[in-house]
Amino acid sequence: MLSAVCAVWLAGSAVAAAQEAPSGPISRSDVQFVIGWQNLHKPASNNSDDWVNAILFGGLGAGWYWTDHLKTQVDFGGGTSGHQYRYEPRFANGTDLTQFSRLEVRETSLAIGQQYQFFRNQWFHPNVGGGVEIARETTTEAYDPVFGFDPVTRTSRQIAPARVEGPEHRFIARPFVQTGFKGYLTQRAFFTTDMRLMVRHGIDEVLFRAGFGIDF
Amino acid sequence: MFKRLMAGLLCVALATTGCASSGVRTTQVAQAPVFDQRVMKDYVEKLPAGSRVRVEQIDGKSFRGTLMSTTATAVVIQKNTRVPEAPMEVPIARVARITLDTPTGSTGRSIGIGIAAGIGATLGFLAILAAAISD
Repeated sequence: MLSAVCAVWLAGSAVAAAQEAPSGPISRSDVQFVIGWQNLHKPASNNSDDWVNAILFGGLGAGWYWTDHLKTQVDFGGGTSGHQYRYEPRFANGTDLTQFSRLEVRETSLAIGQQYQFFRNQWFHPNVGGGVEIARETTTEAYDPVFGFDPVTRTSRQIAPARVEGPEHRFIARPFVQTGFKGYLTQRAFFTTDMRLMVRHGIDEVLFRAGFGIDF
Repeated sequence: MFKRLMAGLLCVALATTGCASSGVRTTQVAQAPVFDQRVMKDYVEKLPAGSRVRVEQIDGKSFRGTLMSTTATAVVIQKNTRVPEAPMEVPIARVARITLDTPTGSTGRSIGIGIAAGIGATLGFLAILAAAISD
């Protein structure tokens, strides 16, 4: 999947460079800053909600226009820590118990993608695109102590102590697709917003972004 | 079953052979509209330079712009674009229609609406974000 995305991106850039108009695009590059809402898919065996939603995202991006319609975009960004409360049934001393834990997850990412921008030299430009995102994910899971009721002594006692697993770091490479638009406020300054879907065994992350930028 | 099959076949036969049509069948050939270039030129020459116009070309493409000048064979128009572009010459032979484009609002008003929409969208987005985070 990743190699297919890379191939499409390289082919798109090559075609764009070959088809470049003699006068070049209206704008050669742009930069933008965005804030966003990040949603991470974190499946847990017993949770009804597999998504970590309450994450504020911030990022910077820069793009290079090969033509008025084709642009290569590089984005760097990161989110605040998101939390997910989990529980796992356990069985000890002939009693059903529950192990509660709190997962903390945080991502920093670098994305490179290819966009197709509709229209030319207008005030509103929708776009679609795709690319690859490399994310550094940090996870920490804090487990609550497990208490159980001892029927013999008729008191509750600690069966498992509290513990913390992590922080664990790992790198994830995922293809993404996106759609959004640029709405110009002046000849060069614009408002932008988009939605990105990162794919890995289904939709792995949904990122909504909005921000401002300027063309050069 | 057999009756249904026969009924179906008859319907197809009626529809495809033309038995059900009335009158004489005539072959209709799509005709390209004929434009009198002289009339068009006379008309364009009467438009004052600086007029905001909408140009429809014979290939179906259209654009809006400002009429800058008229020659014997072409009109020179600067397109309405975000970043100003060089005026373009459109041969009168390629023009299907030119109409005066009455603006519905000023540029300042449009920019104001754009800024308000952008800020509104951002604030709305932040409100949703705040609601999600405080959830």
